[in-house]
This record gives sequence, C-alpha cells and structure tokens, in this order.
Amino acid sequence: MTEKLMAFAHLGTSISVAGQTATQRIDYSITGSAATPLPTDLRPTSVFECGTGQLALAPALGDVVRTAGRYVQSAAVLPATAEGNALVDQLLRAKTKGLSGRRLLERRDK
Amino acid sequence: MDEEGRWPPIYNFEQLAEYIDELARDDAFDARFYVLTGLAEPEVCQGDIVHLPAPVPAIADDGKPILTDDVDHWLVVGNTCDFDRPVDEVSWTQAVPIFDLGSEAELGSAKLAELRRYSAYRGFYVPPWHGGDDHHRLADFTRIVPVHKLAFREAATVVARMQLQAWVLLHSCLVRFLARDDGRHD
Repeated sequence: MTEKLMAFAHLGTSISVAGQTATQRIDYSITGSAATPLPTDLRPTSVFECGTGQLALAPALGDVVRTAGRYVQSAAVLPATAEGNALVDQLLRAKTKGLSGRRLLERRDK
Repeated sequence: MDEEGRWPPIYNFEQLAEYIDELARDDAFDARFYVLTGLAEPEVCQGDIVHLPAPVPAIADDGKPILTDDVDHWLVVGNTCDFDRPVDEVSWTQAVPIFDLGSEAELGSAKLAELRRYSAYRGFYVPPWHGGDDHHRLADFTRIVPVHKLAFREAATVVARMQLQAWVLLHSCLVRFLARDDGRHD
C-alpha cells in the first residue's frame, strides 16, 4: 500500500471512502511551500492507494493514537487507574523537593 | 538469564501476560521479584537497583541546571545492550531515582496494596530486596537521568537484580509510561 498525502491530491479529485456509498469530494491543494507547516494534528489526513488503484482515507489520527494506547494498556496487562496515579503522584510530591534544589556554581568570565 | 547474560525472548502477548500475571498474583511477591545470586555478572543490566548516593540533576524553571533530591538508590532503565558496547562507542545510559517510602507500617497496607497493582503511569514500585532493609520504594519515571556507564563501575554497587517476570513488568510499565495517550488527538 502506497501512502500519499492529501496535500498532493489535485483540486477536486473524487475519492471513494471505504464503507460509504456516495463518492466524497475532497478539495485540497497546496497553496505554498514556504509557509509554516501546520501542527501535526491539524495536517490533512492521509490518502492510501490500494493495490487495486482505489484510494481510501486513512483513519483519523486521534483514532490511531487511541487504538495504539489501548494496545499499550493491554501490553502492560495491569492497567493504570485514576486511584493508582493519584497515589503515586501524591507519594512522589511528598518525597521530592521540586525546584528547591541546589544551584550549580556558575563560571565567572574573567 | 541465558549464557550470554540476556533474558530469553518473549514471543507473544499471551506469554507476556502470563509472566506479569504470575508475578502480580504471587503471594510471595517480594521473594520472587529479585534474583538472589549473580549480581556481578554481567556488570549492570536494565532493571538493576544500584546504590549510588547522588543528587538528582534537573533543569529548573529558569532554564538553569540544579541539583535536587539526594537519593541513595537508582533504577537502571537504559538498555542492557548499551552496557555491552565499548564505553567510547556508547558512553551513556539512563537511570531513574528511587525514593524511600519507609516500612510497611509507615506506608500503610492500603497504599502498599495499591502500589503492588502497578496501576500508575509515572512511578514503579520497588519492593524490599534481599540483604537490604524492609523499606518499600518508588522509582520516578519522570526524572530520567543520563549516567556515564563508568559511574556504575567506579562508584556504584548493584544491590538487587530483577527476575525475568519483574523485568518484563518493568518493561511493560516503561512502555506504558512513554507511549500513553496524552489526549492531544481527542
């Protein structure tokens, strides 16, 4: 499967979205190359070209992250809980000084 | 641990779950957490508890370096493979400070039971080890510190080494800590 960013899709290209009967029309094109890029989570979603040549939209980034998060939780077997996190945070707060540490000696310029 | 000083591989999720469940449900949790011999070979492994009295370095809110809490023990989280590489090739590894929570009487049985569930992202419960005191401890994943590998040879002592199940548990907790969903994409 080849990944193509939607940024390279031509204006007005018709794309079939898996699971949808109607053809979805996506209007997106590059307007410049020197501008500040969008934050990662605001970039357009990816369009995948299947072996058949059909294009399909990739799942939303949030869905991918949540799915990955579920796998991580499963792999850890013992899931994190609000109670467990609260206790550990409270114990670490009580045992640590935060920012009240010792300053390192600063080098003086001659 | 095999002849090369490495834990055997884990081939699938079921095996991973089996290892962790086996440890977490064991009544003799503390006794099965650490190996009792072989602390010197190899020199340092991921998951080792090392005695190395030192302050925890950090960058303060003004961007300046500071030395914070003095701790006696550290949990090695750097990969064991890095210790096998020559120092001039890979000089640094990573460790996290371990904070002393006191005895069971000081900590309280309810809190201890919660810590043994390993249900928190940011900390890793470190049970008492053979030959040490009866104190329970908590390693702070949020304060990973780079440590020169020679420091372990010159100034530190390995006081406890995890058994396979405990090491797998540490791995899982490290992955959970580093890869948890932060909600940015919700």
